[in-house]
Amino acid sequence: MIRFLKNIEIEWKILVLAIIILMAFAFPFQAFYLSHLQSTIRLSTDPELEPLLITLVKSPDETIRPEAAASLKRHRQWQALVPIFIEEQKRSVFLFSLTLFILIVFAAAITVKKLTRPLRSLSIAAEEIGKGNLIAIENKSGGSLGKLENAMNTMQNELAKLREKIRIQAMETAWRDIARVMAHEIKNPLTPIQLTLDRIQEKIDNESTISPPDLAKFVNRINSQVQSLERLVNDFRSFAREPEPQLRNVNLYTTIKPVSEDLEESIKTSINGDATVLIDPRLFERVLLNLWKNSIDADATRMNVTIETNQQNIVLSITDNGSGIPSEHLEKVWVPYVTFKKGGTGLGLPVVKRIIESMNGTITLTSSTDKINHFTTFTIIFHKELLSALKIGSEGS
Amino acid sequence: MNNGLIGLILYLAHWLSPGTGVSEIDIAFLKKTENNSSVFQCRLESVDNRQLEQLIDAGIPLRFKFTYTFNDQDTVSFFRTLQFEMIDFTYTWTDSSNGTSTSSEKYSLIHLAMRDFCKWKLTVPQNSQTCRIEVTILPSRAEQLNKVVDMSKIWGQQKLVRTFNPSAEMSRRNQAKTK
Repeated sequence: MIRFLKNIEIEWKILVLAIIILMAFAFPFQAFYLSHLQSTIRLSTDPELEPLLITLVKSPDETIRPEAAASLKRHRQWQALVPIFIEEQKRSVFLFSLTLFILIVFAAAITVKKLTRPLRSLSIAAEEIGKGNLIAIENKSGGSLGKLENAMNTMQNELAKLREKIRIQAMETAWRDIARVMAHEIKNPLTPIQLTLDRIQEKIDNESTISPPDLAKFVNRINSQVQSLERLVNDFRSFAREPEPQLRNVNLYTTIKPVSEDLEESIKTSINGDATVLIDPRLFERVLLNLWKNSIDADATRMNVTIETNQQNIVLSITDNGSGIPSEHLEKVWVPYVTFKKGGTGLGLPVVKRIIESMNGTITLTSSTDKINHFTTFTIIFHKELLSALKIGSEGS
Repeated sequence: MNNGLIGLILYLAHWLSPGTGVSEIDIAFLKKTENNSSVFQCRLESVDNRQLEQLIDAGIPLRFKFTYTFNDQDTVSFFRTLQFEMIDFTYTWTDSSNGTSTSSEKYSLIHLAMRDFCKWKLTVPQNSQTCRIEVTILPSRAEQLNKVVDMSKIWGQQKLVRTFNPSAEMSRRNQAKTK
C-alpha cells in the first residue's frame, strides 16, 4: 500500500490532496449553511400570528374577515411550504456544490497537468540523456522550471562534448595498447631471429662456412619464430574480421572428441552427454582449440566437458583444474588486449566470444575452488527456440 | 358530536398507526344495477400524510385524477379536488368531469374529509373483462405565494394503478359472504 502511494504520480497526489481539502471544507460549510437557513426561517415567523389571524377570521366584522382569511392563508401556505423550500435549497446547494466540485477538480487537473508536464518532459529527457541520447529540450517554461530546462540543455551539451572526448581518448588508448602489444609481440620473435642471424654472421666471419647441422638448427630456430609471428598476425586478423558462420546441424560430441584427442598428451579430457546444435564446425573448432590451449597455459591437467539439454537450452560446460582465475579478472578476460598471462595477446577469449555470439550462443566464465584445486568453467549456451527458428530460416532459404 | 368522535378516533388511529407510506387502491363489490352493470366501492389506502394535511390546511388544494379503462379500450376520467375554506374553516371536495361538477358536504375535520375524499364508487359496464384504475396526483398552486407545488413529492408517488377482473372480484366477494 505504502509502495503504491509512493509510486503515484505527483500530479495525482496534488489532485487527491486538493479534493480532500475541498471536501473537508465544502461539506461542513454546506451543512452549516442549511442549518442556519432553517433556524433563520423559523425565527422569521411569529408564533402568535396564527391564533390572532384565526380570531380575526372568526370575528363578526365582515369587512375584515376576507382580508384576515387571505392573510391566514398566506401565513399557512408559507409555513407549509417552508420544508419544501428547505428541501429545494438543499438540492440547489448540493447541485451547486457538486458542480463547483467538478469544475474545481477539472480546473485543478488541467492546472496540475500543465504545471507538471514540463517536469515530466524533463524527467524523460534526463532518462534519455542517461542512455546517451541527445534530446532537444524546448525552453517553454518561465521561472525556476525555465532555468532548470536551460541547465539541462547546458548539461546535455557538456555531456556530449565530454562523451566525445572520452571516445577519442578511449580510441587513442586502445590504439596505444594495440601498438604496445604488437610491438612487444613482434619484438619477442625478432630478438631470437636477430640473435640467430648474428650467430650465422659470426660463423661465416670466423669459419667461412656453416656446417649443415648448424644451418639446419639456425633455420629451424628462425622458422619457429617466423611461425610465431605468423600466428600473431593471424590472431589479429581473426579479431579484426567479422566471423561469417556457415551454420549446420553438428553433433557436439563428435566435434569435441578429435580436438581433445589431439591435445591428449597435454590434457586429459572426459566428455559426458551429447546434443546436436546448429553451428559452424570450423569456427567452433577454433573456439575449442582456444579454450583447450588456455587451459594448458593455466597448467590444467584435466578437462571435464558436460553436454546437457533442458527445455529451453543446450548447455555445454567446459571445466579445467588449472590455476583458476581471480574473481576480479572474470569480466576483464573478454576485453580485447587485456591479458593476464605471459606472452598472451589478449585476443583469444574476445575472439571466442565473438564466434559464439555469431552462432547465436552465449559464453560465460566462472571460477571456483575447493581446499585443493581451482576450477575454471566456461559455459556455452545455445537457445533451442533460437536454433529452431534459425533452422527453419535456413531450410526455407 | 358524532362527527367529532369519529374524527378524534380517525386522528388517533392515524397517529398510532405505523404507516407504511405506500398507498394502494382497495376494491370491494357493492351491487349489480338494473342494467346489469357492477358497482364497486373503491378506496385509496394510506393517503394520510402530515405534510399533505398541512398543505391542505394552508388552502392548497389536493387534486387527483381518476381514470378507468375498461377492456383496454374505453376510458373514463374525472377529477376530485379537496379544498379548505379559510372563511368558515371547513373542508369540501369536488368531482368534476366533462364540464359538470358536484360538491361534497362540508367537513369540519380533515380526517373525516379525507376519509370520504378517498372513497368513490365505480360502475363497471356489463361484459367488461378487465378494469384498470389509475389515480394520479396533480400539482397544486399556492395562490398566495404564486408557487406551484409538486404534490407527488409529498405523497411519495406520482400515480397508483390497479387492474382487476370485475367478475373475479364479484365471485370472490360472494364466496366470502357464503363463508
